Amino acid sequence: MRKKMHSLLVLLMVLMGLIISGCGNEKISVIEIPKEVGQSETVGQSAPIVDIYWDATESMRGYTALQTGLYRTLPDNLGEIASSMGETHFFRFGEAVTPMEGRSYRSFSSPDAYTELVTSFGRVIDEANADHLSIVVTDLFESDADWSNVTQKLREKYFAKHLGVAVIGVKNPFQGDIYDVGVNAAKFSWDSGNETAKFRPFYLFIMGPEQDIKDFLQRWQEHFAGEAGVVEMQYAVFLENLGAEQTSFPDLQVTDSKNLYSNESLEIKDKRVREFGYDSSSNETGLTVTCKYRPMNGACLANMQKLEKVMQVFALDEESGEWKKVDAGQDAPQIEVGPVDGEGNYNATLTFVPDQAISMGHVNFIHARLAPEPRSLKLPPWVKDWNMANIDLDPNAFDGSKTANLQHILESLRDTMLSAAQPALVNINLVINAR
Amino acid sequence: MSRNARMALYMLGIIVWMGILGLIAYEAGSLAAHSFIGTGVNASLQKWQGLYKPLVFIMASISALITVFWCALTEWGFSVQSPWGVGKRTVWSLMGAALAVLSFVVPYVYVMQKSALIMSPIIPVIFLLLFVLAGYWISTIFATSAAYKYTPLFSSQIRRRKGGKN
Repeated sequence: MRKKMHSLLVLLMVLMGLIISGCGNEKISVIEIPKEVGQSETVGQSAPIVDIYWDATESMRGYTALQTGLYRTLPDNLGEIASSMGETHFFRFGEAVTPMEGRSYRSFSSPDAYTELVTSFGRVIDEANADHLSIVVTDLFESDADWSNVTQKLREKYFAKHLGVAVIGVKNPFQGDIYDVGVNAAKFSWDSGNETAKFRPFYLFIMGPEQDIKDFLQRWQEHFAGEAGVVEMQYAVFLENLGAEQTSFPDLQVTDSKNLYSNESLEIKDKRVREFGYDSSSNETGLTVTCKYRPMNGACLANMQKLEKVMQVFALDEESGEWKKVDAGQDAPQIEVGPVDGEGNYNATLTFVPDQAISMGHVNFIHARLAPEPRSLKLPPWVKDWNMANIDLDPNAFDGSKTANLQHILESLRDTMLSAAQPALVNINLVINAR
Repeated sequence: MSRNARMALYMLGIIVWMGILGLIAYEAGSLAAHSFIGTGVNASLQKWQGLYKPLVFIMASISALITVFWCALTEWGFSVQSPWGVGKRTVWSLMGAALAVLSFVVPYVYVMQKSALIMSPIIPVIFLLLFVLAGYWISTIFATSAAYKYTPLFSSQIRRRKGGKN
């Protein structure tokens, strides 16, 4: 009897030991996306702060001269849209940026408000808060030299931090003078009368978190839905998420998988990341997601035949909390893209063999993205139509219904975004706990 | 030690043994789940385990109950003077068969209540192996009262090998 009890006790201890040893490893702190992968947020702020900077130079006065057009009621409309999003502040700028109190911004409907002589867009960028949604109302008349300075500021303050830029162009009746045009700072007069073909564009230059920009654009379009077909409005959007929807988890749908299951063994708060486990480390593992390429109005168009497949694998160093790159060479995970249907739907399939592609014994982060090849992104077609060729070559070619250097300005925005940010059609972020 | 006290001890041992088998069933089921829970956004392994654990507890309890009931019958229920009309081994077999059937029925009834639990045929097989074979069968071989110690199948080979000691 004693021998039996002894054997039973030993067996119990062995079993408990086995069970306890399998009861999970040391706790790891919250998993976050590696810095090298940094992406724009997919969720906007609950109540963003909106800062509206109004170009108060004399060149803008002509938009208020005639009774028709959107511009005269723009202060009220813009104030209404911005206030519906969150706390709103107005500023006037010329060479300096000056805050406006109360409802004094309504004076921008009147010609008397436009007294500044110099447009310092760069100063506005310097003073803008990158966490806010900043909107600049201007005619975008910038020289090449001025604009290269602005582009550099936008690169450092916005694109490099995965924030976005968008431009809304609106054609409006205009009667007045336009100053400081070209290298010789020439002055031109322009009177559109009621001829829509001669209406002069003004712009809203919008900067800030991507989701806040999208929110503003949606509210703007809803607010002016009644003007469709009456007022010509165009959009140019420079956001990292080129696909507009289903660009990352949680919106991506997993339609097929092999040797993988959903796991929640780690604390992951970022919804753009999902954790999976694998059944066998030596078997091929695969994940297929359904993506959708449906660029929003004004987005630069990607060529689906010219995509770069970017793949990065990181392993977590638990002691330092840093992600270290894993180089598996030709055994690295692969991504294949299926054909695109008429509605922009396509499949992307990720495959790898765990014990070859990731670092066993560590928590691994796999990042896959489909990015446009450089220079394959196309600006919206309206940009060419609204562009005025370099006025310095032929002053007689001045056309007040177009904007000088517009194409160059927007191309530089596109190129800056490509080089400083990581624009992608889709980002797939997986965490695999291989401990 | 009196026979009643010994039987009480055996019953306690059965409960502990079923508890251990329950832990093993939980781990085995969790390992098996890697291959069938899939990658749905609401189907993580941890969520599945949360729903699976009560099922294991239910099966372990049913198995313990039936096994303890058998032992109680052999100690205090059966009597030579009042046969039931069927052999004791038949009773033992029927109880084992009932437990085997419950190993399949209970999981699927449970899933009807907890539709979020993804079920696979491997789970009832795990329950059959652990709660019926390793649980009921092994327990009854060692815990059946002396009067009916050879009733469970193959118990005569095992208990005889121990020199006839109980």
